[in-house]
Amino acid sequence: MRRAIPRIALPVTARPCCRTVCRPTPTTTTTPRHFSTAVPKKADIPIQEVLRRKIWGSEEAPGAPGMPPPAPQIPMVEEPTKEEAEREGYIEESDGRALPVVGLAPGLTEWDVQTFANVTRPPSTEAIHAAMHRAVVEVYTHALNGKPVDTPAVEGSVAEEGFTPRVRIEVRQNGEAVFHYGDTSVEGEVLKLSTGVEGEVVEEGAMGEWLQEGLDGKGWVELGFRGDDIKFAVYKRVYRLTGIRVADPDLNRTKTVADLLTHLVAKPRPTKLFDILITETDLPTLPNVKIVGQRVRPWDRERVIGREQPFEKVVGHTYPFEEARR
Amino acid sequence: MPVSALRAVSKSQNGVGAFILQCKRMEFNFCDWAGSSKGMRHDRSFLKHSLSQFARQNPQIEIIVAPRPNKIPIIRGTYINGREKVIPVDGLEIQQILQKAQLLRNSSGTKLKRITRPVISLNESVRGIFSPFHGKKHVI
Repeated sequence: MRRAIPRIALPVTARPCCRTVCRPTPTTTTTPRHFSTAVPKKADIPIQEVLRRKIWGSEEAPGAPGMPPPAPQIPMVEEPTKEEAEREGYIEESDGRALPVVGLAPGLTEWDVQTFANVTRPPSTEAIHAAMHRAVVEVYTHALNGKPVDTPAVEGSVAEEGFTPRVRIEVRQNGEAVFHYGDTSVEGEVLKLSTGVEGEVVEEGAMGEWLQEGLDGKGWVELGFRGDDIKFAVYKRVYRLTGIRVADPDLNRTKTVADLLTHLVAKPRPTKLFDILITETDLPTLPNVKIVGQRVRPWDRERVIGREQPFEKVVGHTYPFEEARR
Repeated sequence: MPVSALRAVSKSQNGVGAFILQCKRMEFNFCDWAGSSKGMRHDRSFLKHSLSQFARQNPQIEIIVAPRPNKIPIIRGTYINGREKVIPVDGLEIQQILQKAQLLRNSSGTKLKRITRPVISLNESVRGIFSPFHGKKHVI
């Protein structure tokens, strides 16, 4: 049977109180409510940037997000400006080692300091001989004119010049050395440590003579150092020109230019054991020792005892095409 | 009956009169590149420091030093009987290599045999070989 009047739901309060009824029923008009104590996340910052800041340790990490950090700039030694140098009472700041203090920008690791010898590539044997000749001429020229022998090493330039190659050094049997300048202007230019006119070319013949003599170990390389001051002045100048250092004990033992050259033009140590055994051991002098440089093949042994010989020599056979050629 | 002498061939015994070293040649092979040849070729190595003294002490041995690329270092001993003995010395130190060289020098070219008897002699047994029919009879 249908009811004419629909059943009306009784209000909540009118209903008998029970567990299921006391719970308030949600209505469609109210919105859900959330309550939380956590800090809301910044959804606009990518995870890569978050990690970058975390690694750097602060919010202001260098470089743009996603880009590599900027390359560190190489610092240069700051020289005082004209105004600073001309200021009265200006004293350049120096540390305990009497070296100038250079400012260091943050994040920079490399220094670009001009050293005494700025030679990056190892020079060739001829270049070393040429540098030695130049150093000897300059130092001895200063010594002969009563000037400090250290001057070429301290004030001399490393640029190429065309005056010292023209000087010929003659070493006599009694140990005397004679410097033939050829022209008084050359001696003057050497004293001034001038590098000459740009583009000036040295005569090849003049340089080739003493260069070849030096490579053969004769002539000017037999020049003995007159004193320790000259020896060290020559080595200092050679070091500035070539960048090659010689150990102190070796330097103390050198007596002549040739001795110093042996330390500058040192031969590379042999890599093969065969070369080492030949040069550094007394095995080649022993009568029962034989050192071979190549692999001993099986047929080498046969040939040494004379067992293996070419077939043609043993039998005396000749091929038809050999007969035709004859 | 007249007593006649027994014809006997003299038995050669090396060392009774003159001693002849059995090892006539020793060949030392190494590799210039491989690390197993370190004891043979590096600084303070056998070939550079110990071989000269070994060669002087044994002038009757012909010593050959030759490279053997891409192979392990070996010592090859050649003997009078024509046989060869090869000992690998890869990874060994100087003293160990020297011991191997001395081992080759002290040995002969014969093959290695397992020795079962405590005494090896060319002389016959003094008391004879056992026979059950000779000697004191056993009484039961």
